[in-house]
Amino acid sequence: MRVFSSGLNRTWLAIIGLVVLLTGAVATMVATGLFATVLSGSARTSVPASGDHLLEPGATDFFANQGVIIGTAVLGIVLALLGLAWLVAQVPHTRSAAPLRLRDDAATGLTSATSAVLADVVVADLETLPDVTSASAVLRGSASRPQLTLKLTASDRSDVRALLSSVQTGPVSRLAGALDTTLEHLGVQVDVSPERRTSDSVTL
Amino acid sequence: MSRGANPVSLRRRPSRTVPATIAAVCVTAVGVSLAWAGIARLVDGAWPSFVGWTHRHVGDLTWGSTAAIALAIVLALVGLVLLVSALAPGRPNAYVIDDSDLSSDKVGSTEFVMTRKAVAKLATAHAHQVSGVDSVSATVTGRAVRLTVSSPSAQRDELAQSVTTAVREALDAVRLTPTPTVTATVRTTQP
Repeated sequence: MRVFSSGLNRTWLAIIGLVVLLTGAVATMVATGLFATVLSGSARTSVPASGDHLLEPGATDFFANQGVIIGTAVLGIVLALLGLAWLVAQVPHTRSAAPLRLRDDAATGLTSATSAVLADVVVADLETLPDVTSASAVLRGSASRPQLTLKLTASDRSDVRALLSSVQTGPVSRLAGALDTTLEHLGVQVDVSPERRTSDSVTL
Repeated sequence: MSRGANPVSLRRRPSRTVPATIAAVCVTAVGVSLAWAGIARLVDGAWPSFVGWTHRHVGDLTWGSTAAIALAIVLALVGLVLLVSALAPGRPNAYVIDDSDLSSDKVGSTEFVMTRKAVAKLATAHAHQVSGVDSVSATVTGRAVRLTVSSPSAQRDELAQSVTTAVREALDAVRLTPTPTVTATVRTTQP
């Protein structure tokens, strides 16, 4: 029920992968001499020969330049911050709703409830249903457009469709009544737990 | 716009956390090294020792050397692995439960799912109820449920048919989408 940074991961992996792949492919072509055979004329002379060093002697002078040194430090700080932000984004989050304002007219009084309290009420209600062995809930959205996500663990002998129907007519309906609105979205993830079985004894 | 305006889908593809974490650690490490080197050069007037070490070892390599070719090929392979891990869709974690007759006037849109792990547990539980089954293990993919049954019975084909029918009926009752194909393999154990 938690939210993972799937889109972010795919985008950055694709960008970095493409850059590294192209760099590696071009470097391989240069190193094996393939690149020089593909190019013609003056372009060919700009490609390093197989006997050339990876770092030309001029590289030392280049990296002694004050602008290059500052650029290196700035690039390093930017990369480090981006890398840390990407690492932090790996932590899954629930994205639950901010406290819901059920009544926000200052003249008649303000009523608000945290999403965690309402989710706990829904979970307690769900666990009274037969066949539900455990449940968890996350309430997202706002008081006028609530979205409820549930994880239900049901007995392996339960009728899953009947259970889903009773979840909607029972706890979900009561939550909608308490919020005085319809739920914008309901998501239910059904898990199954084995029924306790007794064995090694028969009673006649 | 209110927070969480787009519903969070419960049926999702792998989030690539492992390759992303490895890549993020590498990006951070490169960034810290560059920042350290640049700041050290600005403050002390000399590059740190690890820059000199890298310069000596990389600077000595020639383009045509085996080490340079190997380095370039490894770089291309790493890039390819990252690209494939980003573009390969991966298996969805769950089956959708058909909600066509589960509508409610208290709810706008609905999404009911059963994880592949839950489907495996359900299939195992119903296979266990078939007479003659000793133990069961289930493998669930995006479109198939494969059961491996151990039984003392020598009538493997009949038992496989019974198990397949029992599990298929149980999964049909849930109405999973896409409907998984069910197959069972029976291994005879010594009674």
